[in-house]
Amino acid sequence: MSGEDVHALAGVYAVGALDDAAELREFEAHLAHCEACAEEVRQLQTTAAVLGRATALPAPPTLRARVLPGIGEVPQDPATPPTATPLTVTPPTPVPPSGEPHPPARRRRGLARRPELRWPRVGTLVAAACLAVAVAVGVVAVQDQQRLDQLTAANQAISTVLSAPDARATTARATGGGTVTLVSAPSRDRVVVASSGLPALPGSKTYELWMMGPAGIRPAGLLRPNATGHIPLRVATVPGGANRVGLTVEPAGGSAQPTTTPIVVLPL
Amino acid sequence: MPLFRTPGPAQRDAGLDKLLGQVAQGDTAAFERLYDEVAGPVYGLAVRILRDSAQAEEIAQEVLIQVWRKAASFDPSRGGAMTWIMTLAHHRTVDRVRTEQASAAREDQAGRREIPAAADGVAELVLDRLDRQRVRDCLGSLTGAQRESITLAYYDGYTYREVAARIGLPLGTVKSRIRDGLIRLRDCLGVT
Repeated sequence: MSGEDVHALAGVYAVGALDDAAELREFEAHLAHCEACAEEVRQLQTTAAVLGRATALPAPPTLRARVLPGIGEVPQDPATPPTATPLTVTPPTPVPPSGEPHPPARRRRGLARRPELRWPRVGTLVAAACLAVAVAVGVVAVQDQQRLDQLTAANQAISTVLSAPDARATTARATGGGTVTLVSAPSRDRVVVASSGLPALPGSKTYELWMMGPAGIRPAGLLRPNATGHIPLRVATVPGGANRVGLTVEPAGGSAQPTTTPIVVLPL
Repeated sequence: MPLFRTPGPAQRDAGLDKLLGQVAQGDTAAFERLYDEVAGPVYGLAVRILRDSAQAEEIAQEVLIQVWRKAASFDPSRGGAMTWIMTLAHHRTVDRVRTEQASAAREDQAGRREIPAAADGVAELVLDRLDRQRVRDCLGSLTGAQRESITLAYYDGYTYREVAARIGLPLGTVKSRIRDGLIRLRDCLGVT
């Protein structure tokens, strides 16, 4: 392929329409040595993104409830992917951490590794095309499944509640700052409680959850920050008859019954 | 305060770049603000390509979680945060449409309309509406083959081989039409 032909792929690359792994590699190799091309790709990708942004629609509130409450629990990838694979050892094929395909072996050895790994890429296409086209659909389906499994494993409980057809999320501001989100589903006997921005408490105090109803108030667990100061999601079982979830500040270790006024009460 | 209300795209994007940098530090409050800026575009693009709001929501969820996970990989020298996020969203959504029966819906409607109007009764921000109009006008300034190639590739998720087969042009011609058309769009939209 002549230089001119490779160059002409800049547009196709920018709109994510390459479908051939060999061509993708060739184009990226070309990019690595062609500053003008890299700049052109940057501009054309920015142009494509403007086309994308013009399709904006109001996101449904359920999307917010599916993404935000548990996000602090999702581990973040480091900036640079680990590349120090010893050349003498053939590592077992790792499961791609995000459904992102591992690059072909040649590139794992650090040859011509452009920072494109840091960028969203053509995704599963590379991996799929490295195998026979005939199995491409299967590969992608497996990776979708892995992605799903990771998200599910990241929080099995929230998945259980959120996957209920009748799941709903309620968010309220807490007295003193922060918000508390309750995800509940009448068809499930568990709820997920997520908090954001609740003030840090001194060591002598703790946040405690309560299941409240006509039959009384039962303790439903403590909300305690982890090492990073973030309060993890809490899954609580809803006893029969409970119709509200409350949160109070209690002495460290918790109480059997609330000793202070709830800072937030959410309906079930 | 949505960044969309700030004066120009450059300033908006600078605000988003900063937010994404904070997200990379594990700042969940920054992520929430970023979410408010990008969830609509990410979801809208997925709806446009998949033509199915339930699947689009699923993909948008994946993309937004991916933004959180991969925030540290964002490199501003290679483009703005919005570009990074929309590129990610496009790749994910296209992966889905190329493998799913969603492609059936795509077959029906491919190429019919570049940009959907916002749903009735939806209050668009003024700047959103201006963006939309500007993009429509600029697409309108392309040649038919440029517009059709770019629309099928970007908004319908076809590979350029598929585009060539659909519109009956040689592969090399489609390559050039997409690139020439994007360059024209870039200039029309004032992308720098």
